[in-house]
Amino acid sequence: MQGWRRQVRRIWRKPLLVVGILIVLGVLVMAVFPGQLAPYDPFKSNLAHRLEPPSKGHWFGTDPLGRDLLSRVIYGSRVSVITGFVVVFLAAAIGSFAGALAGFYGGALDQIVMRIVDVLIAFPYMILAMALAAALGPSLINTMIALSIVWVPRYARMMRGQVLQAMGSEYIESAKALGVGRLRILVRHLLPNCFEPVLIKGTLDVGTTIMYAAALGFIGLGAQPPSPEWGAMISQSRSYILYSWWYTTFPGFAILVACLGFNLIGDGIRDLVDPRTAKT
Amino acid sequence: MIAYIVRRLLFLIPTLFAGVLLVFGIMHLAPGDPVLLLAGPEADPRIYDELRQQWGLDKPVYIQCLMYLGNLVRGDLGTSLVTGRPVIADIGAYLPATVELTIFALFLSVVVGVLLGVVSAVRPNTLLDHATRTVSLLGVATPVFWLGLLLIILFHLRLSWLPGGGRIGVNISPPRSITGSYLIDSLVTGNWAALGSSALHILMPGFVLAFAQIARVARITRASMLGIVGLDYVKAAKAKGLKESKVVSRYILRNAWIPILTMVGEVAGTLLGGAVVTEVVFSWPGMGRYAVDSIMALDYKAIVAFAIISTALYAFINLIVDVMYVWVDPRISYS
Repeated sequence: MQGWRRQVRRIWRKPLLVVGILIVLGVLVMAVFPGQLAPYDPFKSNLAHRLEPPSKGHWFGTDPLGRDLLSRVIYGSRVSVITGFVVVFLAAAIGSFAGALAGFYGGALDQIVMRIVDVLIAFPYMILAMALAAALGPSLINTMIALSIVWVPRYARMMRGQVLQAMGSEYIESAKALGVGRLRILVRHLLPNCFEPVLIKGTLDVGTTIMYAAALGFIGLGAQPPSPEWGAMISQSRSYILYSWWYTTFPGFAILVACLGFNLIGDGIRDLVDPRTAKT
Repeated sequence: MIAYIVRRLLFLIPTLFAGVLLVFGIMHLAPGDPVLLLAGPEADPRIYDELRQQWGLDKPVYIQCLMYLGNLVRGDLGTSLVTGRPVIADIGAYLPATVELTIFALFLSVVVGVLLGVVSAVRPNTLLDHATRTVSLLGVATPVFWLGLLLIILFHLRLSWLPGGGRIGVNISPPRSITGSYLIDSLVTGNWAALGSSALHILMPGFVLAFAQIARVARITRASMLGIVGLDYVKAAKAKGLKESKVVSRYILRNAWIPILTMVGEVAGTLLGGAVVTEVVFSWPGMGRYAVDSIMALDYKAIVAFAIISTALYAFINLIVDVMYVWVDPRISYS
């Protein structure tokens, strides 16, 4: 209990981390309870009120179908948050698993896994994600799959390095000496001790993934209309930028804030764990 | 050194081959049918079959893939399903615009990023330092396409200061092509009208693409320099009474270059990806826009070609970065 309280106090002393936590909490609440928070139905068009500027009735204005933009931005958080978490979870799980096995067993398995990783990392990631999402066909699920494939090799490489480093440590030596089975060493001793960097990278990657998913949505891959996805909303707003700045501005601002929140948390956790990076 | 460069270039070949296999494999597992898309759902089945045969889509996937790789070795990237021209000709026409935009943004990221980083490292905790750090936090979280549209609204639609898209004014003919870069070609041929117009046109897309990367470079420069500022040899240089500018440029920055260069390699990859959305936003006639148009038509040959060319460019820039390590730090050698 004492240790837990000390952790909270340490977090409290990092204002940017606190800001990040508050932002992410806000985004999560929006994603979980959009129905309670959104003032209007995000899909209901009202042509009498098309492309209205922000007002008391519609804080973020309305879109060309008269739909309330604030409501659509709130519902859009659900799409982005789900994409961010699913992609990072899939990539971290598959990547860590492959990387851990490669590092632990070595030999041919290691060679095969790491050569695949080399090939995937040789592509600039937005371009690989684009090519894969295009290959799979435009849809939200396919975008998630494409982005996961892009992130997997980065986790695999990192986990492999961690496992190789930990294998030389004394507690593994002693476990081996005690006759603990190989699989048990991997699952019970190595993995828990190698997980911390994966967690930090994961938090930072949620923000980046939200950004990339929005970029894919913007070029027409990803969530399809009428689904309220932030990137797709900005893409649709392009035809109206001449007379409705709000249509472009607010969905993009949502991406910025959500992304910033996750980045602040990722940076903050990294500083807590490794105070040497704090001054950067 | 030359042996090292050759080895790196040779390693690129299997990597690109494997990349082709990957994208090709996934594309053929996917449900989309480009023939159906082009011929339309009510097309005569005979025409449909003929088109499939014509494009070789009736053969098994592995045969298609082997044929593609065979042609690739001969420099043939296939025919675009949309334009009906060889993909290599299409890409050749669009590539210079992308390269110009990316290099311009890379140049901007490095020059402005390093400058900002140096200033905030030399004067830590001043207003400028805080401003740089705030901008770098925001920069990394700002979507490129959104920033582009906001700047178009402000500087093109409202203020009419800058053109909103394209590479050069509609009533100005492009310079005679030498390098493919409008900026360099018009400068070399002394075509001042074209130079002015293309400079105005590249300003906004170049800045938008570079914005987040300026932030990243500034951050790494600051961190890298702060790690060196306190070292004894720097104190000694200061104690000798050397001018601060000399200490910073000759003693600190020289040794801070390695992490910055590593970041530049990464930045190049991000820029190539970001160029796609930037080109779409600014109607920049580059490879990325061509790729996006190809995606909508399920034109897999164009997409695979685009991915390969981008990766080769990325690998090439990274090779230059690795070679520059030696130049920056004579202790590194690849022999």
